[in-house]
Amino acid sequence: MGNWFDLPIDILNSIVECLHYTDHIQFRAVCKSWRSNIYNHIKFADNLPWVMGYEATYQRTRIKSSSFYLYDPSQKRRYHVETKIPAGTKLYASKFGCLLLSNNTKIWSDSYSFFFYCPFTGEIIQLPELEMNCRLNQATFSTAPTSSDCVIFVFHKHWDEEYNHVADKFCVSTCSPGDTAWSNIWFNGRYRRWISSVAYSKGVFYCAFQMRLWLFPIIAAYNPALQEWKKYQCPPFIRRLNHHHECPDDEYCEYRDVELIDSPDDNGNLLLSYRYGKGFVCVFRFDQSQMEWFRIENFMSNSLYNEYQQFKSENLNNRVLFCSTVINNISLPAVEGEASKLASTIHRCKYHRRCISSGGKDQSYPQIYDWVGQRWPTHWWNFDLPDLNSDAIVWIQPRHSQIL
Amino acid sequence: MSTPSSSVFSYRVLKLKSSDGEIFEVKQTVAVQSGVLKQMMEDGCTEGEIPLNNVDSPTLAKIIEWCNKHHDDDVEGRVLSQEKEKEKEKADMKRWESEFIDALNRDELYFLLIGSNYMNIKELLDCAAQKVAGMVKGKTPEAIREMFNIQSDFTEEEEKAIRKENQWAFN
Repeated sequence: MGNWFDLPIDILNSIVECLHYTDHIQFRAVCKSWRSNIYNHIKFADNLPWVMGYEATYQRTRIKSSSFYLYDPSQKRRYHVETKIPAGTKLYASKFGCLLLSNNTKIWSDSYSFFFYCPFTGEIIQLPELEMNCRLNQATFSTAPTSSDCVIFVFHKHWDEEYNHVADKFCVSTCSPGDTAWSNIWFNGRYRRWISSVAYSKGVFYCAFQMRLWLFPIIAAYNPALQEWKKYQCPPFIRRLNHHHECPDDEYCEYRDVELIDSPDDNGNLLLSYRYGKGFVCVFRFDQSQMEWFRIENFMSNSLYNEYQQFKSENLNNRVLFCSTVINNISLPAVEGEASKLASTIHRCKYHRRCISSGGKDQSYPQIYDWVGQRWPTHWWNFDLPDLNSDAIVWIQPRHSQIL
Repeated sequence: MSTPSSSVFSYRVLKLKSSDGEIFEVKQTVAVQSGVLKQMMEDGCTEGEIPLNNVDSPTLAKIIEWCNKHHDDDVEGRVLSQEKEKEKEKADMKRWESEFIDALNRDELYFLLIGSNYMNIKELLDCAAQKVAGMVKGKTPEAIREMFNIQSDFTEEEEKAIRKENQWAFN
């Protein structure tokens, strides 16, 4: 008779690698030896990100209950997680299965309490309070909150009350889980554009600023080890686009969006996707050693292709991008499992619209997320920082590494 | 010790002794799929019978059947020229693998896992692990315990705590 409960750990690991996240949870609940925490750095069979939604129910103006919804793409199943996180909590980033959130601690104050929350386990890591101007900020973090080298990064600007405009300096605040205070560093410089996207890559936090339609984005970066702020050129193709269409016709002027894309699962590359006009997307990779942008061919789908071709290129095969209009974006290698069928496609989670659009050069890839509910909320566009509300959806990647 | 030339190497035979004392003869080119045997061949210590104390004869027979099927034919000079043919070969192999694994009963599967892990045959271990994962898929801990005849060794409190940790997944 086989004693299944005392399988050697190597065999258990081999089995767990073939399991999806939800099956892994059931598997770990079978017996003590199957629960052992050796699976810490195990990858699950589901390599596609889940989708997380939020919903609050009200009784008159008071919140009655609030919950997260977790959408598992491999099973096309929705799970329900009750939570005490109130609606209106600001959401900054969703990485390594954790959300980076902040609450205004007192009404009318500029004091914010930051924390990590893992919707899969309900665990919370509290971070120190931070004084900042409430509207003009963005934040992200480097590695899993459980790892010793995790750094949380906040960019914030001040609104000059006296002159009623953005002050001439800005602040970069950083801290790590377990710290009792933030380290704040002030820099001179005026960023009148919105900080539209932040990302972390190889020890550096990158920010993209974009506001006025006729301006090309500015890319800047903060290196926490050197405490250094640096401005970078945006990809020359984007500058050219903007130059060409300084007085653009309506079709191209509909919107411009710049998204920086993290890829911890993909060699830590920094990618940038630029959306321009109606459905025109170009993607670039930033090479830190050469300080240069390379255009990525596979994602291009437009008549401007000829022009695009004049710039230095790179064939970044087998990538799938998961973008969000406001929260951090993800790039994954499309080599195994479900992801392999999605090479060179972009999936965009529309935070304030609660819907997901998928796109690629051709339409033959499987529609993985089409079943996640579609809803068009009352406010169709929102320049504010995203808060948790019933229209919110973001990507979230389940991880085993737990906070406790 | 001098290294044998490849042609001599391919026809040499290893004598594997199962835990219940049965002797199996296996070509070196086939045995090389086992990480453990490969290491022994490289170290030149494959003279005489090689005892495999963790593998009984029915399991060893299964393992050798697998290795014979998967052994690289290219050394015998057969070349697959067509891409299409390769694809077909691959699909046939996949079908054979799943038939091979599906034919096993629960105990046979268990000993195959143990044996392939012991002999370090990665592909076979992965294939068997995939089978177990497939059996577990979509099942509750209770159903998994029943399937593999496992007694829960959690106390009631521990059981509750485990469920609380990922409450959403147990609803």
